[in-house]
Amino acid sequence: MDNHEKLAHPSSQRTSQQLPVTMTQLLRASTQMHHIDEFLTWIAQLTTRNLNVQVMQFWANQAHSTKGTSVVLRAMAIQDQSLPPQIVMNARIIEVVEFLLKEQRGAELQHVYGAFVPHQADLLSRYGLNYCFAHFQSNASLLLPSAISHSSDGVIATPFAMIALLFWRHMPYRNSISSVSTILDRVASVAKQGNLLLPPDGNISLQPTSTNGVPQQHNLGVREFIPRRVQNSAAMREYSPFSTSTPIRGKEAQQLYQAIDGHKSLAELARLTKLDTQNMETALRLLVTQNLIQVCDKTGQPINGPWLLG
Amino acid sequence: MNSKQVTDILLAIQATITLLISVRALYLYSRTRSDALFSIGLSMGVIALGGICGLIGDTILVSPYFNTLWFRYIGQTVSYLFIYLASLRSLKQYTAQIKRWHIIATILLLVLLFLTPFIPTSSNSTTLAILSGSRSIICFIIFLNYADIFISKETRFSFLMSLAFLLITVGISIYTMKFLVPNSISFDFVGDSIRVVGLVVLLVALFIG
Repeated sequence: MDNHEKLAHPSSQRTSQQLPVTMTQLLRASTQMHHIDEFLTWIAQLTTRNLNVQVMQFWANQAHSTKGTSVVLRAMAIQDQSLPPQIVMNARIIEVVEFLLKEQRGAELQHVYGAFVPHQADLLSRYGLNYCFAHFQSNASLLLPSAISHSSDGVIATPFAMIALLFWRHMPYRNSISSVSTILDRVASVAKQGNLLLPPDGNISLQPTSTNGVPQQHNLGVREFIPRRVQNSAAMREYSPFSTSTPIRGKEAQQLYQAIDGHKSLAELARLTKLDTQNMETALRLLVTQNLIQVCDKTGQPINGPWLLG
Repeated sequence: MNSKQVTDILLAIQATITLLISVRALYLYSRTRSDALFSIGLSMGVIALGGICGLIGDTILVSPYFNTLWFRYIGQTVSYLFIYLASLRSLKQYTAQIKRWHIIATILLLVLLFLTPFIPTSSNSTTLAILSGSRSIICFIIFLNYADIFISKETRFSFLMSLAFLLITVGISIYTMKFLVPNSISFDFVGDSIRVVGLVVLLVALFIG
């Protein structure tokens, strides 16, 4: 099927009919969620599921009180969970996002070879991510609260400027792009209605949440949390472990990762590895950021949020 | 060039490929602590060691008391078995146990290697056919596993792995025929050659898959 046939395909009508439902859900969700990142993750999940997008990411500028601005991934959804995250979360992707944010523009639907350097395009293509589209939106009168995963380190609320980056396996239908654009165009206004984005003088209050909806008990019993290794189930099955394994940066992080057995608590691991609090925290943060481990509470429920950075 | 030299060259190529894979996998394991890499590294290391021992037995230590066939055949069967286990999604939660068993099995294999002088030097052909053929059974199971993954996921890695293990299975099966059919030197060459091609595909799968 060539691209013209695909764009005229009758099933493309389906996506536009889904849009009002999605917008209604969008409005409802914005009032029910506690943090903009939670909202963005939900949109990404909905989009990947309903519009057959393989990967959707939200990238935004994050201002720091001391070291200027950096680009931070605010939310991401991957349709195929076996896809290694580092394929779409690496320096080359960030370079492109930084460029688009600086230029304050998106990028039309195109083949990945037109958007990324050949090595990155090869990598994306190898994992079935052949087409990409970037949507830019900004609103200088609104502030984006600091990311859940970066709630300390001197980060401050930042004027709203965001890139939504989407990847498809096959050339998407024309209506898919317009549906995505319509949803994304309304994200800022809907998020504002739900108080997820704030006016410039707003007093930002981060409300961390865990994946199971239970409020975080900051630092309370943190040392009893149990880290577990995240198994990359696609390595050795769908992709070579030579290309999908993430190197662990830092001796302390390697030492900690080696000691993690899925049973020992953070306190026990600290004793075992003889790492002091600061090194332990740095190592733990590295492993979580690299998606190599997941931290669970005593009942085995995964913990997300800023507890780690407290 | 006589038939023994051809066999040794093929053995050297096999040992080089498996050693290359092993070194790369263990190097990456030291940086990533990935259990899959550990399995590949250790398995390919044992297979490479078997190949090197075979070469030494054929060239330097030409002695009736240096019979490495048992170590080579059992070593390959065990190593391919652990590669198969590493590729099973359902066993991911047991990776620590699998790793432990892999280490124990490797130690036992090394004991077998050191016991080489005490192993019967003239094993009967049926025993050797069973030992050699067991490798092809495991490789065929690995082939089926990757063929199944390729059908559902269509990834380059699963395609190359299924092709590699199909070739290795065929290669070993043909090689094993030499124990059952008298005066059949050509089975040796054809089987080893196909297996070398299979190992090259395996190398490609791991490095670019």
